[in-house]
Amino acid sequence: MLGLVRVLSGRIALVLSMIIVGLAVFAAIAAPWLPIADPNAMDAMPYTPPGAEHWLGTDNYGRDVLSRIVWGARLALLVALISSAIASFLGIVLGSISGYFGGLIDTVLSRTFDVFLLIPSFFLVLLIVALFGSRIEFTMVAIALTTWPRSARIMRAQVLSLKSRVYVQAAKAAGASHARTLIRHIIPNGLAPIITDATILMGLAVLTEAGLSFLGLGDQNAVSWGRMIFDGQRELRLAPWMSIFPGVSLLLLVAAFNLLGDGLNEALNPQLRRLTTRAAQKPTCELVPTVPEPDAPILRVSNLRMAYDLGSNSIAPVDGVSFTLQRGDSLGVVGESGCGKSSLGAAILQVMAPNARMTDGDIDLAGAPILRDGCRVVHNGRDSLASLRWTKAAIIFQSAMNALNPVMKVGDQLIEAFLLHRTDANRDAAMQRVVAVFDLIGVPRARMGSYPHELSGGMRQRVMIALSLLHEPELLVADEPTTALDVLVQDQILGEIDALKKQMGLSLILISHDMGAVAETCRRVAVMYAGEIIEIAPTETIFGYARHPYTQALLAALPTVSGEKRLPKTLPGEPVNMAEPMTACRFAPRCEKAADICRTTRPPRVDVAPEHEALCHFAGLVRT
Amino acid sequence: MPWLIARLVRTGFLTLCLLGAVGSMAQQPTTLVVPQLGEPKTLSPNFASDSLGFAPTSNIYSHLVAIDWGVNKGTGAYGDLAESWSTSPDGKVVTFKLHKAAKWHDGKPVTAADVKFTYDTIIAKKYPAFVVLKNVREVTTPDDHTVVLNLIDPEIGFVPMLAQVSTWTAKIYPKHLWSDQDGFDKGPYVIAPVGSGPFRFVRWEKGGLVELESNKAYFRGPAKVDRLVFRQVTDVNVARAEFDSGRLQFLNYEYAPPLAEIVALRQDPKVRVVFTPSHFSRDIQLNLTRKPLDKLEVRQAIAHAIDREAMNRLAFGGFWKPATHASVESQGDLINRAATFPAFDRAKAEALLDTAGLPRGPGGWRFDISVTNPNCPDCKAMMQVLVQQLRQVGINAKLEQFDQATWFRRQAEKNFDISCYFTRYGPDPDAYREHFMTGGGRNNMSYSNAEFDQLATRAATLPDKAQRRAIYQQLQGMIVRDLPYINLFNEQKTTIIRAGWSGFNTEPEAFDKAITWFGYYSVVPPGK
Amino acid sequence: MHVGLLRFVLLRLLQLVPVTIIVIVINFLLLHLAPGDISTTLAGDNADPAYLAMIRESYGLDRPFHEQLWRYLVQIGSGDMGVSFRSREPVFDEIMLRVPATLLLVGTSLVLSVVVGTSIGTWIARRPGSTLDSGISALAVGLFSIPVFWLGLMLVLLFAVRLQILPAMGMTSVDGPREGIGRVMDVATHMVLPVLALMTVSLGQYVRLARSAVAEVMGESYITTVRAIGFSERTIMMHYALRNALLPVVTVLGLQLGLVLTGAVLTETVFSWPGLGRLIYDAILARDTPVIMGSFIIMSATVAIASLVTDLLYAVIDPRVGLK
Repeated sequence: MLGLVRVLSGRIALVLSMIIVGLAVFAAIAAPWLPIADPNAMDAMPYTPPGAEHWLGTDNYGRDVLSRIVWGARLALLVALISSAIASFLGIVLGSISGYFGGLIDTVLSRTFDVFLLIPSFFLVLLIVALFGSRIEFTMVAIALTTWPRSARIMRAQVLSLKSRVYVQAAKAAGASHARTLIRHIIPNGLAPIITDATILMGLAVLTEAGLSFLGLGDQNAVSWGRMIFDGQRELRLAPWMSIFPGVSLLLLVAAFNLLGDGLNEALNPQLRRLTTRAAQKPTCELVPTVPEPDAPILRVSNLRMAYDLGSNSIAPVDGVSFTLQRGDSLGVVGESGCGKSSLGAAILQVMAPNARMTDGDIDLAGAPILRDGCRVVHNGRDSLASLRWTKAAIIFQSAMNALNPVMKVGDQLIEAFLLHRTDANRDAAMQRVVAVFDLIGVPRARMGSYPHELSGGMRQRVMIALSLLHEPELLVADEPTTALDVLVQDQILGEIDALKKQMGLSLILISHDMGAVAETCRRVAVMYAGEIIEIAPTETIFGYARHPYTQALLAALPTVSGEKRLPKTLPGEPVNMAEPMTACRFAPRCEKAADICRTTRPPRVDVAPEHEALCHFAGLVRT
Repeated sequence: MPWLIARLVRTGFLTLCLLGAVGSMAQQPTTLVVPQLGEPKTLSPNFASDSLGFAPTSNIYSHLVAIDWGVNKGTGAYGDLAESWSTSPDGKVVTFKLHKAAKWHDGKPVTAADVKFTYDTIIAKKYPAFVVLKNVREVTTPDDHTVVLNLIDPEIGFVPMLAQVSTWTAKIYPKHLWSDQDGFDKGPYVIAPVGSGPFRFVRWEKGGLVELESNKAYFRGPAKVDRLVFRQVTDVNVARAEFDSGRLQFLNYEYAPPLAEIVALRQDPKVRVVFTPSHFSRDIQLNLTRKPLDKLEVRQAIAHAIDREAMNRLAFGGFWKPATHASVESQGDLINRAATFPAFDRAKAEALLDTAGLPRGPGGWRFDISVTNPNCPDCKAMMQVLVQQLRQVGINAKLEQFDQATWFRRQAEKNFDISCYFTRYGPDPDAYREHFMTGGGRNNMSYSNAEFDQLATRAATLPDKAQRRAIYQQLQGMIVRDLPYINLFNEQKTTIIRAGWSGFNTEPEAFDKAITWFGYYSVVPPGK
Repeated sequence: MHVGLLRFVLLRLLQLVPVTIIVIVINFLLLHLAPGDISTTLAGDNADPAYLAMIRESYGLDRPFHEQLWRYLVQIGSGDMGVSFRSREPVFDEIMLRVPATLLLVGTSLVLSVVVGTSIGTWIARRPGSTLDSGISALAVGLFSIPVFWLGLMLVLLFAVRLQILPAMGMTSVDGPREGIGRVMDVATHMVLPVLALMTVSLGQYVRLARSAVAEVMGESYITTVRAIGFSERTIMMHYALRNALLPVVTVLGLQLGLVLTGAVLTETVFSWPGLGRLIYDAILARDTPVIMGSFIIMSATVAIASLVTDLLYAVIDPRVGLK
């Protein structure tokens, strides 16, 4: 309930639309008992402007306009509800049958939907109403008959995707009949887009009925807003309020239906919500550039903090990270899902999502300051990162399928990326460079003219690597570069990255949850937990002499090929929920060695050995 | 010598200026734009009843005899192509003498052969005008300018009826252009008519524009308007806006503003408002074959439930004239002033209904009834009010509206309860037969009164005016007693005209001159 | 590729045949079931039964239903749409006379609403969730909830009646120039109000479509990539995001293109615009069967062709989509 209130409070439009629809429903139901005049009584003075006695004035027959608006709401809602109900019902039934049974039935029914959608619906409604009479029942049926194919199409698509789901197969295997499967299992789960579309149908039905009434084809005896506008046409000079108020009512009700549909859509489709989270402010600070020292480390990160804004919450996936990377060195960053390692990777090159913001910390890239106290360094308006990113340092994203532009040939993407930073070069030079990089990586030249979806997973990832190497960067951040690939290709790619590192003298940061991969490629390893680096040490040290209980647990969970067969130890408990308040030592709830001090006092950063730090109260003790 | 030359030059210069001025005045063509709610379907009026084509074709074609709003002052018919006519003593032969100077737009003369050809075709093909021409046994043409119509039965009102139907669907066609077509719906002249009227056809731009220009060789003298344009304007407000901005010079009754505005309009010096009564009424027909309308008490109760004053106020701003007799004011001394419809009395209505065995039920209703009307704004407005007035006395009346064609069909099939109607009383009172005689063409009420039939048939053959008048007054008494219909209003057309323009067919100065209800021959633009 | 394309187009065009037949049958059935026919329209009031019978016989309306249907199908099969019952003119000619006016009106408003709507939508998608975004999105919803005929009436009231600066009826002035630049200007001034009315109502849809498409695309991973590579926000929006956001816009545009011939009957009524929508409306009221049937066939064919064009465009814009 509280969640509902939270969701609603950010959406004024949705709230307003619910109020309007609610008002209309109330007016429609309560009309006979409200203290308003008889909408058809011709007792009052005609052409009275809006005033004290008649709030919205009277029409040319002396009928009270307010009363007619209220009663008109009845008709509008009736038309909206019944038309959309019939259309949705027909659509659900026929669409389900079509999608479920497939084959000939589906072909025939699908063609029927298509044909119906080809017939101009307003004219079909017009034809039916003009031919058979303008009673409101005919109008509603006519509207439903011309709009059901929309729902049918949606339902069919839903059923098609749902019927292969596991739980449906299970139900059928358990002996459920077709009807039962459809009605109990499939249809209820596919209703969401139908409900949303139904609100659009309601708005459409109201406008269609109004249009018909305006053409003079509406029901003669019912009070309808469209008809009021039709009646008010002649009286525009004497009584413009006759036309203005029903028009405004139509506008408000239909807009309310549409906004309601929007809101429903967002509520039922949570991934849409991220589209409406506010973008974070990005403050900048002026700094005069200094000449970078020649021996400066390629990357220096100090007390980096980042926060994501999710609605009214914010979490900090990177919460006080510091490390230094020398030229030519390689660092692996490992941890569970959700520990913040990908966020760290993105933060290093400032390629976070729009709703992320840096809250604190310094970053120096090749001796040049990029971030100071959480704000981006600019000089004379120029972002100091802009000239360095992709030329001095580049990033390889995970899941290249989505990271490459699906509608551009890969060759063209690389060419454009090249030309952006090398304004002196022409297209031929760019082509040559791209070919060179492809050769380096092992991508066949012919692939330049392919689209990403035409390439295999491994090939795509290689293209991604090629893209990052275009300008011969000194630092490469690889964020889970092999996660989406199968094991053999994984091994290949990692090997290639390693080879490139040696060949080009790259500094590498490899982010992965696969400790084995990291062990082979990186000289140092940093282990992250809940946004902090809880241990950092040279690779052999980590694997041999880990000091932090979490690192030890991680290692213990690795299965070994040699030795006696034993069950790997698993880590108890759930990964930490960054949104909840945390204990002083964030690992404490799951730590074997946890003591009271761990829950109350922040653990110190212990220098266990040169280049070996651990964030634990017990790090310096017993050396195992 | 030089002063002579100077003088000559000056005179010449002035003369030139004058000529130029006169010439430019003459060269400014005056255009009259006639707005219409829709577009004509065809410009061959004799084939099918196309109300939107009546106006253009009435100005392009001529008629043997014509009728216009002059019926209000008693003119039954006057000659268009016919210079004069005479009826034989037995009433069965009507001889017309044609104007010799009438010419077709292509220059050929109009002769009796054209009239014979037109009427023969209508009779053979049973085109709409057949409803009047069916009484013609034979058309003969003793010479080029004489047409003789030999009737089957004597009919006193034949010529006025012919004049009336000619306005709609019996225009005279040129034989030399149509004789090789099989019917009046084929051939190039259907959409590019050649007539003999005061205006010639120029072009028809589909989508709503028909342009005519003055026929300089018209035998009565050319019209004062040079160009006559019929424009489709579907929206009443748009028409009004165009009138206000000066782009339209007049608005006829189709576009008449709500009568509540008339007071303000009358005070505007740039606008003239003209009210024109007609020989039609607005009334309601009651279907006597439907229960409970078959009971006289019920019909009487309905008559008592109607408040004409309130209806006038609400539907017509009080500007129409209620009708309490089975006739309209333009019929003058034909009206039986003693025969009046029941007066407004709600209590009496309720009492009558109770006596008739139709008490108010638990919901307050006595019985259901449907009310319908043709597609004209005055009928629509009246029926809206009628429904409310009937509901006040416990009759659950509901409106049913149809498009024009469907309404016509349903009336003909007698598929209605109560319908607004436009009963006709002129140009000849024989009109009563059409509406009230057993089997009459417009007797949708299924009224059947043998005495009425007998008297009405006799009156159609009586040449003596006084005798006829007595019978018709007697007939009115019967109608008012039996209540197959209830008369409500004298029909009245409203026209608003820009100051400076005159001679529109609804104005008294144009009576018997405009040539049909749709004629614009008599219009006088400002400055002429 | 060319052969495949040709085959695809041909197959789709062939589909028009069964569609046309179904459209004809449905409409014929409806017209036959309904009471009344052209004879009463032509007869007016007080028609002689002989006249009515003559009309019905000459139009073949006295034959049994299946015979009428069969004759009509054969006639259509030979490419003849017949003549209008009312005017006796060839149906095809009558329709084609009105098509340019409707195309001009609806085509112009469509183009304008797509261009303006997409631009606005793209612009507000830069900051999804901001006050500007919510405000304009809500306004866009309001716009396409307006009844177009009411808007037309209000526009007439304001511009033609109160201010008197724009004409309110028809496509040309009565005394206007018949050709050349003068006529173009005349038609243009007459077009302003109706196009404004139509455009306003369909604008909102494209604003929201473009906004959601662009906002969604901006959240995709490859946008992060190009941002990382260093392209400016502006380039990203125009060059990358817009291209991908065009897909849903093209879909909806295709749907509306199909409706281009019919979408304006209400606007044509308010402004007395001599278009196809009004022709069909009058034909329906008058039971002019050949015109009704011919119009429905042409409308359905237009929708089908528009849908074909949309699918082809789609395949061009998005290489992931193949032609089926």
